[in-house]
Amino acid sequence: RESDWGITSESSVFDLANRVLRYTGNAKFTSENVRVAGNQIETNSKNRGETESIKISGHPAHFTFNDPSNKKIDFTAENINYVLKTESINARGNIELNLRENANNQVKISSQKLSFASLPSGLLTAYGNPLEVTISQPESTLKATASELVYNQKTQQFELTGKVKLTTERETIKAHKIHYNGETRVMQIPKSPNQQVEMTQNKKKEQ
Amino acid sequence: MKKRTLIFIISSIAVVLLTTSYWRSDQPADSIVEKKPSSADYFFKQVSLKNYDENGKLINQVDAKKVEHFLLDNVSVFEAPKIKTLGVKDSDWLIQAKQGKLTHQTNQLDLINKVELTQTDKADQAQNSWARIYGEQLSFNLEQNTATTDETVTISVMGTETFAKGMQANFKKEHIELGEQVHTIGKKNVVD
Repeated sequence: RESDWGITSESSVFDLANRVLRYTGNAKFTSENVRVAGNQIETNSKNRGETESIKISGHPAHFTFNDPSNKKIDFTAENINYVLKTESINARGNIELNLRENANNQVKISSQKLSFASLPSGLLTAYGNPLEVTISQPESTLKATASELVYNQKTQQFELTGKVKLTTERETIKAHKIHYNGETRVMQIPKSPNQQVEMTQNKKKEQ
Repeated sequence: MKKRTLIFIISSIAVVLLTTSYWRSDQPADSIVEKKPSSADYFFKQVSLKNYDENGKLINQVDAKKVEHFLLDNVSVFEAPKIKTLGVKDSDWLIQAKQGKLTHQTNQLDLINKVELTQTDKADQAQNSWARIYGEQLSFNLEQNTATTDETVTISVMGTETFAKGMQANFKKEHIELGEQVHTIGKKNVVD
């Protein structure tokens, strides 16, 4: 089905030779579930009758997604590319993401690059030097740093790769790769030639 | 007063009234010239006016059904003017309106009444328009190949509709700068 979207800004330049519409100054994009705000928005098109994607830049640009099922995606970045047809996103630069599945399950990510295969529940991929992720669930909070994170929102499967350091209330684990299933709370650490697995028990604080 | 004299007076008043109202109705309501400046010293029909730059390259061409030239005011009034101008890459522009007034001193053609700008692909045989702009007033500088308006414009391009107050168009670069309160509405296909 078709749904409307809109862009408002203080001024704009339509570069019709290159098929680019540029909106500057307090630029805002809104659609059914998405709100994006930034300093500049650019829309691009290859064929005549359709706008393919929008590029938003800002200091930072701010992207929010809310849908009736109470799922909320909220992130800031310096540059965001949002492809309307596939609902896919690529973001770069100082990314702070807050992903709320529901009132109890929340994922926070700080990274340099972020991508959604498609909103809202497509494969999420993040890269950082390192990236930081916090997974908050009832009675447990898990923090980790790594070079890469792949998060399958449908299966609740997290895959952390590259100098991974993961901390829970009880232990700290260092490895090349760690899998964590947010549903079953099971953690798997595959053997890796790159790096030995190291686990340290956190001493319980005296009451 | 004799009956015949009375009839004569009444009928002459009627004639005077009729002619003035006829003359006034001859002038279109929102015509570009509130009052006809002086009478036209000459006029053309089926006109084609071509403008070239210093290197002899065609900048634009203005066609019109009729052009009336008014010597005293040094203006020409165009009926159904159509301006053709080449785009940067692979598109052409057609700018048209119901009426236009060319001020010869400044080479500015002021268009009013259903002003429409259309960008079409040269390669596209069917001449589907890439961009279409609508407004009620536009000042087109034939020498610079630029156009400006302070009034509201609507732009249909890339499946969107944009509304803005004020526009500056540069056909050499094919850049359209929009002034305040820019608002674009688009449509996207959503798979539930």
